Amino acid sequence: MDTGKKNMHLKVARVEADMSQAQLATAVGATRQTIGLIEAGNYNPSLKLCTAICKTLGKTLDELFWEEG
Amino acid sequence: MKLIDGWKRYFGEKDEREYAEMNRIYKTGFLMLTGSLCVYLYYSLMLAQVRSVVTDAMVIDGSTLFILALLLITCLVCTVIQVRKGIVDEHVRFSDADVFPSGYFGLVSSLMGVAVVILFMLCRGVAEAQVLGMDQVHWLVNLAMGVGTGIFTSFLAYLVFYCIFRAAKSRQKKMTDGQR
Repeated sequence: MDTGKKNMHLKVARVEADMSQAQLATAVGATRQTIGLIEAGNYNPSLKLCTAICKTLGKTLDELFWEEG
Repeated sequence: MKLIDGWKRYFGEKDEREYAEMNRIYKTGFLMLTGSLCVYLYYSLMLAQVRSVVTDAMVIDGSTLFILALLLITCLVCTVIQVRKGIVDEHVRFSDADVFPSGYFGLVSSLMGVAVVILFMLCRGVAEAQVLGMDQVHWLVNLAMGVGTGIFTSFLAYLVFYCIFRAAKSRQKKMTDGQR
């Protein structure tokens, strides 16, 4: 479940959407801790959760979860 | 159904990470519980068997038989659910194998056999010490009987793994063919 690499794309997109971790968590049906762990790269979310996050933040999967290299 | 829906609405959505973590925690608990129950049952059966040497009657109390039945039913239910979901093993290498991974399951069966040898020897040794006294503990005889039981257990476990593999593969095929 540990990707080990911080997901800065998600953090930036969330801040741009003016949402806190708690607000995003409520919107996608997860806990704040889970969102925090995804951003910290310590949890690899399911496609269902990734899609819910993308829809909430108005981004695509590529924009938030694609890792270069 | 309305009651269940209402119940689900009341509790709200489940967090997938915490749900997965809880499953891992319960798995640990399940393994600890089944492992300790196995030790308890083995010891109880050995104690009854050693006592029968003195009393000429092997008496196994109802609670031991109840726990044994409960343990067997629990393991059987878990195995049936596992097979119904077409799961052979959590490791891709063995779960995706087209032919029975005899080496891997042979190793697991052998390890189970070794565990039984140790368990048998220790439980019987302790039971003998408790009922007959330390000077009446026959470690070598217990070891020999344990080895016999361990070999039998290994073969039995291997056979069970083979049956699970065949059944799970058959189920996998049905699931991928859309014949559910």
